[in-house]
Amino acid sequence: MEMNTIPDSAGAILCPSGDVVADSETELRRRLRELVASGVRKLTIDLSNVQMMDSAGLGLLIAAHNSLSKSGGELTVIHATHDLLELFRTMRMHQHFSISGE
Amino acid sequence: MKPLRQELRLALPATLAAATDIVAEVKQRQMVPPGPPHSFCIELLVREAVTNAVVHGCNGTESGTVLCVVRRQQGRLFIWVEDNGPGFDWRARGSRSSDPAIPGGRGIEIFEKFATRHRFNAKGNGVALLYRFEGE
Repeated sequence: MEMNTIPDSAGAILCPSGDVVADSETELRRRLRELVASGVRKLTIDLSNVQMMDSAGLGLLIAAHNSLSKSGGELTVIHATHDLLELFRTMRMHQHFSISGE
Repeated sequence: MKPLRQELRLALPATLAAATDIVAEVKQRQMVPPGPPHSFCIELLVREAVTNAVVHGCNGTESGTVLCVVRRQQGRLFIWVEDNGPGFDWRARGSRSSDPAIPGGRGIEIFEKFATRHRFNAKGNGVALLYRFEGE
Protein backbone atom coordinates (compact mmCIF):
# COMPACT_ATOMS: atom_id res chain seq x y z
CA MET A 1 0.00 0.00 0.00
CA GLU A 2 1.34 3.42 -0.94
CA MET A 3 0.77 6.37 1.34
CA ASN A 4 1.90 9.94 1.77
CA THR A 5 2.22 11.71 5.08
CA ILE A 6 1.88 15.49 5.14
CA PRO A 7 2.86 17.28 8.34
CA ASP A 8 0.60 20.17 9.25
CA SER A 9 0.52 22.66 12.08
CA ALA A 10 -1.71 20.51 14.27
CA GLY A 11 -0.31 17.06 13.50
CA ALA A 12 -0.28 15.08 10.29
CA ILE A 13 -2.40 14.14 7.33
CA LEU A 14 -2.03 10.55 6.16
CA CYS A 15 -3.12 9.69 2.61
CA PRO A 16 -3.21 5.93 1.94
CA SER A 17 -3.80 4.64 -1.59
CA GLY A 18 -5.60 1.35 -2.30
CA ASP A 19 -7.92 -0.90 -0.36
CA VAL A 20 -7.73 -0.81 3.44
CA VAL A 21 -8.51 -4.49 3.95
CA ALA A 22 -7.17 -7.48 5.86
CA ASP A 23 -4.41 -8.40 3.44
CA SER A 24 -3.13 -4.89 2.88
CA GLU A 25 -3.59 -2.96 6.11
CA THR A 26 -0.29 -3.96 7.77
CA GLU A 27 1.67 -1.07 6.29
CA LEU A 28 -0.99 1.45 7.28
CA ARG A 29 -1.11 0.00 10.82
CA ARG A 30 2.67 0.34 11.11
CA ARG A 31 2.59 3.93 9.86
CA LEU A 32 -0.20 4.89 12.25
CA ARG A 33 1.77 3.46 15.18
CA GLU A 34 4.85 5.41 14.10
CA LEU A 35 2.92 8.66 13.92
CA VAL A 36 1.31 8.22 17.33
CA ALA A 37 4.65 7.18 18.86
CA SER A 38 6.32 10.27 17.36
CA GLY A 39 3.95 12.52 19.26
CA VAL A 40 1.32 13.33 16.65
CA ARG A 41 -1.89 14.15 18.47
CA LYS A 42 -4.17 15.41 15.72
CA LEU A 43 -4.21 12.92 12.89
CA THR A 44 -6.24 13.26 9.71
CA ILE A 45 -6.69 10.30 7.37
CA ASP A 46 -7.49 11.38 3.83
CA LEU A 47 -9.41 8.59 2.05
CA SER A 48 -9.43 10.26 -1.40
CA ASN A 49 -7.61 7.26 -2.87
CA VAL A 50 -9.37 4.48 -0.95
CA GLN A 51 -12.36 2.68 -2.47
CA MET A 52 -12.78 -0.33 -0.17
CA MET A 53 -12.49 -0.96 3.55
CA ASP A 54 -13.43 -4.11 5.46
CA SER A 55 -13.78 -4.86 9.18
CA ALA A 56 -10.00 -5.04 9.52
CA GLY A 57 -9.77 -1.49 8.19
CA LEU A 58 -12.56 -0.31 10.47
CA GLY A 59 -10.73 -1.91 13.39
CA LEU A 60 -7.58 -0.07 12.39
CA LEU A 61 -9.39 3.28 12.55
CA ILE A 62 -10.88 2.43 15.95
CA ALA A 63 -7.44 1.41 17.25
CA ALA A 64 -5.93 4.68 15.98
CA HIS A 65 -8.76 6.65 17.55
CA ASN A 66 -8.27 4.83 20.87
CA SER A 67 -4.51 5.45 20.88
CA LEU A 68 -4.89 9.14 20.05
CA SER A 69 -7.66 9.63 22.63
CA LYS A 70 -5.49 8.20 25.39
CA SER A 71 -2.95 10.94 24.78
CA GLY A 72 -5.48 13.72 24.38
CA GLY A 73 -5.45 13.70 20.60
CA GLU A 74 -8.06 13.09 17.96
CA LEU A 75 -8.61 11.32 14.67
CA THR A 76 -10.40 12.87 11.71
CA VAL A 77 -11.34 11.07 8.50
CA ILE A 78 -11.88 13.14 5.35
CA HIS A 79 -12.76 12.64 1.67
CA ALA A 80 -14.50 9.28 2.17
CA THR A 81 -16.44 7.99 -0.84
CA HIS A 82 -20.21 7.67 -0.67
CA ASP A 83 -19.90 3.89 -0.17
CA LEU A 84 -17.40 4.32 2.67
CA LEU A 85 -19.57 6.99 4.32
CA GLU A 86 -22.47 4.55 4.25
CA LEU A 87 -20.27 1.83 5.75
CA PHE A 88 -19.10 4.18 8.52
CA ARG A 89 -22.67 5.29 9.24
CA THR A 90 -24.01 1.74 9.30
CA MET A 91 -21.22 0.58 11.60
CA ARG A 92 -21.63 3.66 13.86
CA MET A 93 -18.07 4.85 13.35
CA HIS A 94 -19.17 8.50 13.37
CA GLN A 95 -19.89 8.15 17.09
CA HIS A 96 -16.16 8.16 17.73
CA PHE A 97 -14.48 10.58 15.38
CA SER A 98 -15.25 13.17 12.76
CA ILE A 99 -15.92 11.77 9.28
CA SER A 100 -16.59 13.73 6.12
CA GLY A 101 -17.08 12.85 2.49
CA GLU A 102 -15.66 13.73 -0.90
CA MET B 1 -26.24 -11.07 -23.20
CA LYS B 2 -25.31 -12.55 -19.86
CA PRO B 3 -26.40 -16.11 -19.04
CA LEU B 4 -29.32 -16.38 -16.63
CA ARG B 5 -27.19 -18.22 -14.14
CA GLN B 6 -23.52 -17.69 -13.38
CA GLU B 7 -21.50 -19.69 -10.88
CA LEU B 8 -17.97 -19.43 -9.58
CA ARG B 9 -16.45 -22.14 -7.41
CA LEU B 10 -12.94 -21.70 -6.00
CA ALA B 11 -10.93 -23.58 -3.38
CA LEU B 12 -7.89 -21.66 -2.20
CA PRO B 13 -5.20 -21.95 0.49
CA ALA B 14 -6.23 -20.07 3.61
CA THR B 15 -4.20 -16.91 3.18
CA LEU B 16 -5.32 -13.31 3.56
CA ALA B 17 -4.78 -12.86 -0.16
CA ALA B 18 -7.60 -15.36 -0.84
CA ALA B 19 -10.27 -12.69 -0.34
CA THR B 20 -8.63 -10.35 -2.85
CA ASP B 21 -8.18 -13.22 -5.35
CA ILE B 22 -11.84 -14.24 -5.12
CA VAL B 23 -13.10 -10.67 -5.41
CA ALA B 24 -10.95 -10.18 -8.51
CA GLU B 25 -12.41 -13.33 -10.08
CA VAL B 26 -15.99 -12.29 -9.28
CA LYS B 27 -15.38 -8.90 -10.91
CA GLN B 28 -13.55 -10.35 -13.89
CA ARG B 29 -16.52 -12.63 -14.62
CA GLN B 30 -18.88 -9.65 -14.30
CA MET B 31 -20.97 -11.38 -11.66
CA VAL B 32 -21.65 -8.14 -9.75
CA PRO B 33 -24.74 -6.18 -10.81
CA PRO B 34 -23.92 -2.68 -12.06
CA GLY B 35 -24.52 0.50 -10.12
CA PRO B 36 -24.09 1.48 -6.51
CA PRO B 37 -24.26 0.16 -3.90
CA HIS B 38 -24.13 -3.42 -5.19
CA SER B 39 -20.47 -3.64 -6.15
CA PHE B 40 -19.27 -2.28 -2.81
CA CYS B 41 -21.68 -4.37 -0.72
CA ILE B 42 -20.91 -7.63 -2.51
CA GLU B 43 -17.16 -7.10 -2.37
CA LEU B 44 -17.47 -6.28 1.33
CA LEU B 45 -19.49 -9.45 2.03
CA VAL B 46 -17.13 -11.71 0.08
CA ARG B 47 -14.10 -10.19 1.78
CA GLU B 48 -15.59 -10.55 5.26
CA ALA B 49 -16.69 -14.14 4.75
CA VAL B 50 -13.37 -15.25 3.28
CA THR B 51 -11.24 -13.33 5.78
CA ASN B 52 -13.26 -14.75 8.68
CA ALA B 53 -12.70 -18.24 7.30
CA VAL B 54 -8.95 -17.65 6.95
CA VAL B 55 -8.34 -15.85 10.25
CA HIS B 56 -10.85 -17.48 12.60
CA GLY B 57 -11.77 -20.70 10.80
CA CYS B 58 -8.34 -21.92 9.77
CA ASN B 59 -6.49 -19.82 12.36
CA GLY B 60 -3.26 -19.73 10.39
CA THR B 61 -2.91 -23.49 9.90
CA GLU B 62 -0.78 -24.40 6.88
CA SER B 63 -3.28 -27.02 5.75
CA GLY B 64 -6.16 -24.55 5.88
CA THR B 65 -8.29 -24.24 2.78
CA VAL B 66 -11.27 -22.07 1.94
CA LEU B 67 -14.03 -23.01 -0.48
CA CYS B 68 -15.99 -20.15 -1.97
CA VAL B 69 -19.05 -20.49 -4.20
CA VAL B 70 -20.66 -17.41 -5.74
CA ARG B 71 -23.85 -17.82 -7.74
CA ARG B 72 -25.84 -15.10 -9.48
CA GLN B 73 -29.36 -15.86 -10.60
CA GLN B 74 -32.44 -13.72 -11.18
CA GLY B 75 -31.73 -10.76 -8.95
CA ARG B 76 -29.96 -12.74 -6.28
CA LEU B 77 -26.34 -13.30 -5.47
CA PHE B 78 -25.66 -16.29 -3.27
CA ILE B 79 -22.29 -16.62 -1.51
CA TRP B 80 -21.14 -19.75 0.31
CA VAL B 81 -17.81 -19.77 2.16
CA GLU B 82 -16.57 -22.82 4.04
CA ASP B 83 -13.24 -23.62 5.70
CA ASN B 84 -11.76 -26.88 6.92
CA GLY B 85 -11.29 -25.64 10.47
CA PRO B 86 -13.15 -26.81 13.59
CA GLY B 87 -15.92 -24.22 13.32
CA PHE B 88 -17.15 -21.84 16.00
CA ASP B 89 -20.25 -21.48 18.17
CA TRP B 90 -22.10 -18.76 16.30
CA ARG B 91 -25.16 -19.34 18.49
CA ALA B 92 -23.30 -17.93 21.50
CA ARG B 93 -22.96 -14.54 19.84
CA GLY B 94 -26.68 -13.87 19.59
CA SER B 95 -27.67 -10.75 17.69
CA ARG B 96 -25.79 -8.12 19.65
CA SER B 97 -23.97 -5.32 17.88
CA SER B 98 -20.21 -5.04 18.14
CA ASP B 99 -18.75 -2.90 20.90
CA PRO B 100 -18.01 0.38 19.15
CA ALA B 101 -14.89 0.99 21.24
CA ILE B 102 -13.20 -2.34 20.45
CA PRO B 103 -11.24 -2.66 17.20
CA GLY B 104 -12.30 -6.23 16.36
CA GLY B 105 -15.51 -8.22 16.08
CA ARG B 106 -17.33 -6.48 13.23
CA GLY B 107 -17.39 -9.24 10.62
CA ILE B 108 -20.68 -10.85 11.62
CA GLU B 109 -22.31 -7.47 12.13
CA ILE B 110 -21.38 -6.65 8.53
CA PHE B 111 -23.22 -9.83 7.43
CA GLU B 112 -26.25 -8.68 9.43
CA LYS B 113 -26.23 -5.17 8.02
CA PHE B 114 -25.22 -5.68 4.38
CA ALA B 115 -26.58 -9.10 3.39
CA THR B 116 -30.27 -9.74 2.79
CA ARG B 117 -29.92 -12.94 4.80
CA HIS B 118 -27.09 -14.91 6.33
CA ARG B 119 -26.88 -18.29 7.95
CA PHE B 120 -24.10 -20.40 9.45
CA ASN B 121 -24.04 -24.16 9.16
CA ALA B 122 -24.41 -26.29 12.28
CA LYS B 123 -20.68 -26.84 12.71
CA GLY B 124 -19.91 -23.15 12.34
CA ASN B 125 -17.32 -23.54 9.60
CA GLY B 126 -19.51 -22.34 6.75
CA VAL B 127 -21.65 -19.30 6.08
CA ALA B 128 -24.28 -18.67 3.42
CA LEU B 129 -25.00 -15.09 2.40
CA LEU B 130 -27.85 -13.93 0.20
CA TYR B 131 -27.77 -10.53 -1.48
CA ARG B 132 -30.86 -9.43 -3.42
CA PHE B 133 -30.84 -6.68 -6.02
CA GLU B 134 -33.40 -5.14 -8.37
CA GLY B 135 -33.69 -5.21 -12.13
CA GLU B 136 -33.02 -8.78 -13.15
